[in-house]
Amino acid sequence: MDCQSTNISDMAQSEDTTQNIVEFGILRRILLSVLLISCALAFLNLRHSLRPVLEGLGLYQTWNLFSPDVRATNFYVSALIEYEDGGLKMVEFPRMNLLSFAERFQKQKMRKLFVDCWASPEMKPFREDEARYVARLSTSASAKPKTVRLTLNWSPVPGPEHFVKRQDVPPEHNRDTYFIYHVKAEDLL
Amino acid sequence: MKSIWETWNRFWFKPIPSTSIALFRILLAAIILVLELVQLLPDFDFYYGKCAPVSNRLMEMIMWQKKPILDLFLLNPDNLLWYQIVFALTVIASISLLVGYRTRLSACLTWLGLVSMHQQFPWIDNGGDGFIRITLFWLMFSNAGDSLSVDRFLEAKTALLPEKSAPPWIQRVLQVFVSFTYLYAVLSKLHGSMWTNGSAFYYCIRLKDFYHFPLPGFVEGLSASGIFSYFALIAETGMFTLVWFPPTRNLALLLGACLHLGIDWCMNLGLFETVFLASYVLFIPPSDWHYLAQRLKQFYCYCQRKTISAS
Repeated sequence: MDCQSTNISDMAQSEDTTQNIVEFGILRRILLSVLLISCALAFLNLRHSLRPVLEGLGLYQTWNLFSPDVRATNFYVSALIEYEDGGLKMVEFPRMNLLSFAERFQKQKMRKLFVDCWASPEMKPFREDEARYVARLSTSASAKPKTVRLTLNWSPVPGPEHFVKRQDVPPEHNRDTYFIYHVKAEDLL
Repeated sequence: MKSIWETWNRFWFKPIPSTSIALFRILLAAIILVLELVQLLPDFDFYYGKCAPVSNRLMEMIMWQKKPILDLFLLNPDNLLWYQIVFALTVIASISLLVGYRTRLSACLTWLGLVSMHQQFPWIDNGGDGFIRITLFWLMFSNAGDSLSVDRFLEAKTALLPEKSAPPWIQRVLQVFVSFTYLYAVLSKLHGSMWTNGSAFYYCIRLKDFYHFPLPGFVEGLSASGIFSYFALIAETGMFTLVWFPPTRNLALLLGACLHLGIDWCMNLGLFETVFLASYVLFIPPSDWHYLAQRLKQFYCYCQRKTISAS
């Protein structure tokens, strides 16, 4: 690095002389202006009509994180597996609050899948796939799953009128089994 | 009428140095690499492999429904090797975007790869991923490779690169887009009651799946919840109002940065906060970057002189 003394005004002056300026002609400016205005108008007026196109290109996104209101329930999904020999096994997916800081960052996408999506109504058509996945995970040579029960464990966050500290937020003690799947032999292949 | 055209012309087309959008390109590419190598690669088989929780067959029946979608994986469905090749090419394109080699092509390939991953398994994406895809799409048409890039080095054939200026219309589109996201966020929040009665922050920090770093006790109180809930609304409002006026721009960026850093400390939202923070460089004029570079250079020279005189 050259350490000769320079000041800001010198630098600005040298910029003026060394800058390599690319200009747009008037036609290009008008065309781009029309394009920008058309895009904005089309986007505002046809947002819902444009949605399939934007979704197809991966460009559709809403910006309503934690709004209009923040979720006031803690929950996670677990699966209870019943084996052919009568044995039971509980499977839990990664729970962010039980992971280390580094794992929370690395597994953050699993939070989205297992908390926001896994038990949501939009995932209803995929319930069988979810259960088959859990069955495959829990299969061994000696233990074949017979039934998979997907369970939502939840508890409301006590409101400000019943103030609790963060570490005293109650555990997810309510349990709702929202899907039962009878495993078929071909599911385990 | 003439002044409106002049203002419009100046805003979108008056050439400015490409430093800010080039810095944004570098930050965005670095974030994408973290996303790919730290968050996606270790669990690649789980998200996209044969053991994925949701099968391609069902995705096709329910999600894709024969609609036209952009997904390179589907050129050779159910072939894990092909999926790995697409992923590897996306990583290479991201590195190329980072260093600014064939910048527009790299942005295009990175965008194609990320869109394919999104279409293939959309259940793991949050707003940050959507933000990355949208900004990458616009970067394909930008002059982000005109500064701080291998492209510029090869063009100038010298290590002392003269600054290159060009009409900043893509940078302006990205600025408008960033502002729009904050406007949308504020309007959405005003539809509910928690943000206006000040209890939103109280609930946010008690959602266990978002726990991040430990919080000092006073942050958990109800007064703090009110203050931080309103602060979020004010900081977000600043990002579509104050940020457009030079005298208040830095204040808006500072408030926005405090908001994102604060959220990131309290809540684990992955790269969501980081990618929004990165977009702030688009609002900082090139003269400020030059001033900062000059100050750093002076500081470096001062340290060197100190070392020489000490020895």
